[in-house]
Amino acid sequence: MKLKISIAFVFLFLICGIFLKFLSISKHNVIQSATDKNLEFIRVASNSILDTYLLLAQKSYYNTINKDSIEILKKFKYADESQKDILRGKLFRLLYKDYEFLTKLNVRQFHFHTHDSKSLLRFHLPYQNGDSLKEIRSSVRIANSEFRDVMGFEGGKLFPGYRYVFPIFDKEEHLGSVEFSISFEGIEKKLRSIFPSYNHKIILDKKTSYEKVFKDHRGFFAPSQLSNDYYLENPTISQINKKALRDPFVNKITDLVKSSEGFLQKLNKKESFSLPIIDDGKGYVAVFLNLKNIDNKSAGYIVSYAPLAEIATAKARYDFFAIIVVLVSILLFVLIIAVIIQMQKVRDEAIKIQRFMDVQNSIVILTDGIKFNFANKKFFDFFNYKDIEAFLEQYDCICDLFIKDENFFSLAEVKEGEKHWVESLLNLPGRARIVLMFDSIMTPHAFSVSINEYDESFYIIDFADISDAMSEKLQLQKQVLKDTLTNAYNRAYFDKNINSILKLNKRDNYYTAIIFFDIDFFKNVNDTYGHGEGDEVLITLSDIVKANIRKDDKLIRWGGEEFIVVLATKSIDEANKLAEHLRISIQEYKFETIGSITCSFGVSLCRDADIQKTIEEADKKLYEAKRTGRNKVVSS
Amino acid sequence: MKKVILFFLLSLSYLLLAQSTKVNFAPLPTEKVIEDVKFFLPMSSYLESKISIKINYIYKKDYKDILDGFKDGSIDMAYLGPLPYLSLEKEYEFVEPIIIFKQDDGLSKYRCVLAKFKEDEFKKDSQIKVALTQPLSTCGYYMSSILLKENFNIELSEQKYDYTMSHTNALIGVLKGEFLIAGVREKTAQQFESLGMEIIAKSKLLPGFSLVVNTKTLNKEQIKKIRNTLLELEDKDTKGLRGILSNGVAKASKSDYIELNTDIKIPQKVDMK
Repeated sequence: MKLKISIAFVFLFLICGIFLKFLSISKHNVIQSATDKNLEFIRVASNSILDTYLLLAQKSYYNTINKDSIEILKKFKYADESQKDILRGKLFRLLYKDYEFLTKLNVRQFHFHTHDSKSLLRFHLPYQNGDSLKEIRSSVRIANSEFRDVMGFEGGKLFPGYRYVFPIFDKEEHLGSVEFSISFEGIEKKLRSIFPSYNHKIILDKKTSYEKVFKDHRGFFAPSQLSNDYYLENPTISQINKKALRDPFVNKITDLVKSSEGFLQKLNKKESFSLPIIDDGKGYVAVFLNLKNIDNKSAGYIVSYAPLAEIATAKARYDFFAIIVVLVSILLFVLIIAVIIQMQKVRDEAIKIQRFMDVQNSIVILTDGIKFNFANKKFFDFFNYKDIEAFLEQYDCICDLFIKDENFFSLAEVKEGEKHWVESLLNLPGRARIVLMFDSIMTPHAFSVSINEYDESFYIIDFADISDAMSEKLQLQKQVLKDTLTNAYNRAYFDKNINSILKLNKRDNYYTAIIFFDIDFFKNVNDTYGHGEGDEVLITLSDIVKANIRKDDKLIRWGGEEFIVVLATKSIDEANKLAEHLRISIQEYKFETIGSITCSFGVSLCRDADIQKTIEEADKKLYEAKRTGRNKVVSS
Repeated sequence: MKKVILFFLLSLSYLLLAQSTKVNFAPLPTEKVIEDVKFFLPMSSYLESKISIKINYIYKKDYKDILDGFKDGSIDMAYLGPLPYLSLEKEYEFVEPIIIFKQDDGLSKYRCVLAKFKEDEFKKDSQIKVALTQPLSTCGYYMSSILLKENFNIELSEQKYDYTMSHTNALIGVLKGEFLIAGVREKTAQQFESLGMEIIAKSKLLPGFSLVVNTKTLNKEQIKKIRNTLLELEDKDTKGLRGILSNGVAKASKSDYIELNTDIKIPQKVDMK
């Protein structure tokens, strides 16, 4: 039982584990899908915002690159250093109002570059100029070497940002380039107007962004709370970061993000991702939109935090399911244990009952009158069956073995309207509940039948052997079935039992053979020595044959001096051998008065259950033996 | 036994703390307190580690409050430029500069200059517009008026001027064409030379920002300890130092300020009429 309980536990544990795993994966997918939607929203919104800024940059380009500025830039290209200083100042004076206007539209940097990619004038930091941008500013290099517009996120010597760089031409002469960089504040402002519940900030990759900044300006940046590999604009400069630094919501989500599983691995993959965060029953989403720079390398992330109640709801729903699964599994486990215990009890009880019944002297069976469910050891010993299945191959019911006799109950007495033989027996008075059955060696036994209701459908039926008490009646019964002269079985016995014999032999994989024989010239014995001597010959012959056949072979006096032996055989040859053995035994016997006699034998094998046909065939062969010289065995 | 040792150590540390002198220090008047702390923290930490004093930061909104703090004894030590120091000394005799902090160029002194855009015409007989930094900035009204008078015989009080609040803003004001001249620190003006700005007048060397002590609230021994401890850095490599100590220090004395004339009346409001 312990093994069964262990197997049930392991099985349920596995099923429960698989189901919980399935729920966990489903939950993760549903929650991740919800947060990924937010990532997609931010991505689409950011792209739209950047497209809007592109239009602004293009418009600003046409406003600022006019006749006056072109003239300054053209002179600048060919001027000496002292002239360049003045021209730079003049350019500042010419366009500073445009720059002030652009700053109101969140353009952080308005920057002119020379034709050979050096800084010409930074409006946001005018005294920082002349430095080469070729190595660290791909956008400037491309604009001035490939003469095409370049746009995208990029680090820089002062501030990283979204760059829109346009080459400047006077007719066909390349004069340099101009750049408009958008501050993250501008993008954040627009993002906030689209997603009011979000907090946004930008973190910059240390290598691709922070390390490009002028050393003097690195103080404008501070390490991100999220990772030392990322920097953000110093909160003393960036209003957004200043606000974020003081915002308890942002600080809380930042802490939760940092402690979330696999966060740093995801961050270091440098691809966009979203993180679901559930804390204290509330849901949040952290979106990390990766920024690719002009060289298509990761430059940092736009980080957006927002409450997301639906993931908390989804988690609660799945957790509830998980609890239900666990509870059901526990319940099922308890139930299975109860069933196992109950089954064990029933089995123990059945074993006890079996043992109890097996020690009974009576045959005990359990039946509903139609189906046959159980029988005790006595039953199998009595009928010589290995088990109930072997019995059921031959018979449907023990009632099939009831011998039809006027003194005993048999199926012939089941009346119309009675459901089955048990009901018929119950309808009889107790003393009339007696049946007659043959044991395995065809000895009749009388049984008193007791019927007890087991439950609503089944009965326990006890067949108590009362053969001794009814010995006289059985003796009469025996006598009825035996020839009074020779003590061999008579034709009445044959008629009653031949079907059972056939079934029995078939069950044991034997054929039923008929050896038909009679005494040659028996009329001469009667005529010569009188009928008294003839009867003596018949009695002696019967004894000789009985002594030479096997225990289960049946000798039947068929009529006058005709006898048949019914036997189980594997082949006609085996039957022939027995017949030949009998012929010789009879031939060799010396009668005191008449000397010796001979018999003729016809042998036939019943192959198709038609015993009458077999007898007729054996009879024909006997006739053939007679006709062809007597004292011989002829078989079919 | 462990408890006894712990009690002994705690008692000892309490006694040591109790013996350290509390010094109230006023850093630059600013609203960016965190930045201020970052700038001055290396100095205060250094002093606290070397001598038994405890630096207590006192934040003031402007120079006037700092000067008042000296007078009422609530400030023991302050970081002051030459002009605020002289203004304080004029009203309160118990002040003494003990240390000058060197600048990026390694010098303990600096100059104020007048700068203009090269292409702008400077008509000395016409009224001009002057961009200034702050009222109590040495290079502001104070030194600009001296330089204009000494070099061009122009009275600043008779010109238009405005406080732009920083040296850079003053120079950008000129660059934009809003002012003709900017009165600024020499180093900042030099940065703008690449934009066509030229220096048209220079002051003599002025003492840099200094650590000024209140001799009424701190005794001679304490002042000596602070001065000598900081001067230990004078000959050391300044590479590893941060904040205010990053360029090194030099000894300061009242004599550094002798040549500065503080009789000029500095207007607190702008005059752009």
